[in-house]
Amino acid sequence: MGLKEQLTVMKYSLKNTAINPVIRSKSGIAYMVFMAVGFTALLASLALSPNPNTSEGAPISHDLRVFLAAHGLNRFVIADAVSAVLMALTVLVAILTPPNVPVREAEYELVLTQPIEIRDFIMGKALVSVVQQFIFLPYILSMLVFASFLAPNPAKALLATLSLILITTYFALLDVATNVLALALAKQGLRRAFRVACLAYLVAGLTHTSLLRQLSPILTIPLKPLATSLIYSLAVSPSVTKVVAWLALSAIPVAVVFLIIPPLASAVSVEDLKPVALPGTARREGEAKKRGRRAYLLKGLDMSSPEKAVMSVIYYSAILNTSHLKVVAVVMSVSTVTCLAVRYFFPVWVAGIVGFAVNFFIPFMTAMMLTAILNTVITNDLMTYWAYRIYLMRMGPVAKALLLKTVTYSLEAVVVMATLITALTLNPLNLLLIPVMVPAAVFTSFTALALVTYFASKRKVVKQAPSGMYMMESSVVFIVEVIFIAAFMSASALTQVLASINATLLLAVIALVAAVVGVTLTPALKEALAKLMERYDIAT
Amino acid sequence: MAATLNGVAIEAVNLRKRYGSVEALRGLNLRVGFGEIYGLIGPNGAGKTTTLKCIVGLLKPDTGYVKVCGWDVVRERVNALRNVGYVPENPVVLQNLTVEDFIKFITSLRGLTWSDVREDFEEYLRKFRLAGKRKALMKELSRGMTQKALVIAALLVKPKVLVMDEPMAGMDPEAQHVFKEEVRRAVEEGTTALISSHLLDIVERFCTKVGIINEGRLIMEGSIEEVKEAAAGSKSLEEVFLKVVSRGE
Repeated sequence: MGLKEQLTVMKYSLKNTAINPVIRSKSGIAYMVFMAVGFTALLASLALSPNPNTSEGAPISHDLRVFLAAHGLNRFVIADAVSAVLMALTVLVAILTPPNVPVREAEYELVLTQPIEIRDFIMGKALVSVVQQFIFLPYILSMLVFASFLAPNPAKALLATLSLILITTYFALLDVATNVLALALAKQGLRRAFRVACLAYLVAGLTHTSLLRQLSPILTIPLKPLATSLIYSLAVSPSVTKVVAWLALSAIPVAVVFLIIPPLASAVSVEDLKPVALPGTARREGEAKKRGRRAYLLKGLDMSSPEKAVMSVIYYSAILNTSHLKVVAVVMSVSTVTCLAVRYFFPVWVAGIVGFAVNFFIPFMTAMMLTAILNTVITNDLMTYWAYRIYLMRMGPVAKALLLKTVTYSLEAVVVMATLITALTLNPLNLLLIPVMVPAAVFTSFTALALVTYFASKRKVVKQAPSGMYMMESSVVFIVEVIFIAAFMSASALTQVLASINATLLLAVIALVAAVVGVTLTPALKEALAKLMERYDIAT
Repeated sequence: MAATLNGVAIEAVNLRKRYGSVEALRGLNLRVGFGEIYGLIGPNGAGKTTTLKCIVGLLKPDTGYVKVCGWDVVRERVNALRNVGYVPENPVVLQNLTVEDFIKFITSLRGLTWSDVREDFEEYLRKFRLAGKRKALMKELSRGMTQKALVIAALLVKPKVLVMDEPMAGMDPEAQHVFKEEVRRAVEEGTTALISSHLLDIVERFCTKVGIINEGRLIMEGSIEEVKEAAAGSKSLEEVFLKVVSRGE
């Protein structure tokens, strides 16, 4: 195995994607200094916190423990639940990952025409995904903040951060491993059988769980170290030594995934690698081409006026197509049925865990999903900005279509969440979360698009910014996530509290006011966005 | 208010544009008269694309101004751009539209109906041998085919000024021939064309006027014969280019 070649690929990939973009710009350096200062301050505050050995941590973590205890949830149960979720995610990733390895266009054109084994190239990229987890300061800082709120003492907060990094490393490697595994299986005609086997594993785990009336070892055992090290580091009782031991064991699943990559990568050839200008779009495009399938539009493209043409292309073609509606319907059905099953067929504490997950973790996941969707919006719609600039001239229709599109995506996520909560609580009042969230969805979408517009013209490759925007910067991602998480959690908490005490009238009034505010806000923000687009796009 | 034309389709005056520490344009002056096919040539990084982007309003110059058909591109942007058709250097398109939908989309942005352009569209498809690709998604096209679609879109809006950045990149010889014929025909009907290109042989035979840009300045311009004469009696545009650019350095 060419370790030297792998390290070379890793070194230059890191320089290209992570290091130079930061250290070769003044703002990047300032950002890193800011992050480093924040990181140091946080570490110092953790070290200086009172009674590090006896404290139960921040008030929020105390309240959380009380809440969990009231629902009969101890660290063993939660660790099992997290293990099961991680395992289920692993199986789903294995089922859904397509059989191709996306690579950047430049890598395809330049690196792969050099005398280097494809296996070494893939291993180099896998090493990049590992190293990135440990050097991306904003990401580590956000995890440390999260851990410091929940962990009982500073040492455990650090261990929890390390555990979170290991979990994300595991999934980063899993992505590479499942890509090459899917390729190897597809070449031998075994991919379908493998996917069926994965599904059977998941079904077996769920069936066993319902028979046992507790989470099956089929789901909890494989990734137990990863989950246990995290949950124990956030729990009060386990000693630091015990947490460290579990953390050491956590390296096993990470190492296993890493070690299965080289033999699988040996079977990959150059034609299996798909060059893409933009990461993320390649897989979808590759798959769509392979299937020779196109999404069918429920509403035909209306090109009778500039406004209608823009609305058709940006909004209707994305929202009113069969593949999008299918995804929404499947997600809604699966999540609702699962929640109803949890509510009716599983012990109360399982419903407690799911409810906890819905309230505390889903906003994070939804926010991440939203930013991913926004990235897609930017990739698909703003890459052709030049066409709007030259041929449309006014940005109003573009701003309107983009705003409505992102608001729709946000609200679809909220609809799923509201349905989940309703299914778990069997209280339809929770559906009012949807109108309550409308202003937040509108405001978040506007903020994201406005920031993207601004930063794209100011901070991205300046020559390209006016003609096409490429992806959201991490600072924009962070702001969007914070706004969305804060808005969702507060709206969700308010709705659930009012729903639980059957304050129907008050909740209905709040929902109505929120919906009216949201609807009124939209045209005003559309105008503001259009002005921003016209102003900042050429102000480079 | 009507713009003042004075026979000038594109007028760029004292353009300066800086990207961080790099000064891409250093007081560039350019005038393209109505009915000209103007070839803008220069080494890589000379400022050709920046100039073209300033002309179509995608970049705002740090100093100076650009007028298209008498309209200031920054201050009277909408009026200026009503006269412009543009083929960008990087063929970035709406990947998931069919060729026909893409063309419909671009022309409708300009306020044209399908019946306004349909006949010409069919004609261009046939000439550029894209008829079989009418229902293909844009992402399924090769670079050359994408370029053809972009050229068709720009020609269909019947602009007074065509601004094209490396328009023949990736095109096969037949398509290059059709492209030149169609641009010539458009010019005969009143369009002005500004083309940036590295294909000096083609520029020499195709353009009526040429400008050589180097390090952000227009260092020579005139008809092909004039620039050959000015560059110590050079025999070809390539010779002119090599002499002028190396002298500039």
